[in-house]
Amino acid sequence: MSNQEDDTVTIEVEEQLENVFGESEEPGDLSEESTEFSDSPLRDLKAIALSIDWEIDDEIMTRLNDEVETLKEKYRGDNVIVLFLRLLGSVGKYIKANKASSHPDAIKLLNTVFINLEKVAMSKGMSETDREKRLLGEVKRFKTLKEDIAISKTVGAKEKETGVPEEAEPMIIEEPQQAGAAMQEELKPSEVEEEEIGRVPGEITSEISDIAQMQPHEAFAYALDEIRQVIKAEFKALRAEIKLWREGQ
Amino acid sequence: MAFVNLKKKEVQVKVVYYGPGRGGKTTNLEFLFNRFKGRIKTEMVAIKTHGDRTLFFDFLPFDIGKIKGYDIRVQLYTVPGQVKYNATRRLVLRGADGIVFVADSMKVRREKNLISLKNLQENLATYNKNIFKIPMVMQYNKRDLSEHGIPLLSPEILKNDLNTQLKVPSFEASALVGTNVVPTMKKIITMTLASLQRELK
Repeated sequence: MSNQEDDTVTIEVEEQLENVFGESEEPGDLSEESTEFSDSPLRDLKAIALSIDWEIDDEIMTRLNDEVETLKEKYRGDNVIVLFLRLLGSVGKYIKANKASSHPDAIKLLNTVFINLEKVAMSKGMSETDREKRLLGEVKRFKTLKEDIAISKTVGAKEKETGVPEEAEPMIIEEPQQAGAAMQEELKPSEVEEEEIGRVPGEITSEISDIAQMQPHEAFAYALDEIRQVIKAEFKALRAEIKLWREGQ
Repeated sequence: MAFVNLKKKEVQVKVVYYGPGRGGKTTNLEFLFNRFKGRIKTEMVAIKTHGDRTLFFDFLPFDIGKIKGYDIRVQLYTVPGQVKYNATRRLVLRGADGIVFVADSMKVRREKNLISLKNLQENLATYNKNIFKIPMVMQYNKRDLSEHGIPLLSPEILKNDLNTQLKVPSFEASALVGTNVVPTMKKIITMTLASLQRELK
């Protein structure tokens, strides 16, 4: 093909693309959603959350904490968002304390909490029920993570004591919708605040240190009990979901 | 190779957004979809993990109208950037007509960019495609993070690392706010269709 033909195609393509995607190159000419987001108070928090992926250092974690505190003030009066921020702050403190040895799901949790916080904060038409459902889903994940951390620490302590390596940490598969439905039945947001999030700051690390001080047999019994409780909670969530499904039939 | 239906006079081209995990590939497509969903009248498909990472791929198809009498349908794909999903990446890359390499401008991701570009070259080679011949655009994403005090690689360093040999068109961009997302997409589509025209001749 000659250069002239090549140019003709290029011009035609550019014209067609301009028809479909015209008036969009200017950074200031953004969609309603994007403009809203660029003005959003969550913009800085998102930048921080995105940068906490492979690289975790004190500086970025301190900035996360500062930003969370600033936003708590800004959103004072919106209970759901404040609770999301408290969750974010708690997980951030745990990651800051443990850095590379943090439980791998802690980073994932940080991300999902932020994503849901963003959805809740940016979606103007979202119903209160949906907002609470998203929050409860994250609280559920937070609880699961706490249990996982407790179990892995206990197993680690046992290995150290006996010198016998245990099997890899069990994976807890969670159906968010089930968990959300069950939590919704069990707890109202105000209760969540008091029972779950209200006692969160510093709690994970204190529980870990409690377990570390246990005798091996006590720690093992504790771990078994934790596993029992997780299974029990999962079944309860499943039953609640089946109940809801039956009611909907 | 693009799908060309001579009878119906239709051409379907596949453009893949490639790059390291958390680099902004999905954000590029999300911006395009959110900005133009009223015009392109299609849906974006995304399959994600619980952590909102791309598990399989994101997919955004749209029509751009007639070129030389042919209806042109463009399909934008992203690949999962995480290292462990190479089989999926390779699968999505199959039949790609054009590539946008979304590089992460953050200093801490410098090595990840290089690994990902090397991985792209290897995966293209499995389909007997040459990274130096396939239409490609380089996007240096996340430039907006400098405003937040996050250390970034300069465009010169990014160019030296990634584009000295390839010498493909490049854009400094911020997929989050949309800066240069559309020009990147327009450039790769123009290059891909021009390349296709040459192949068909």
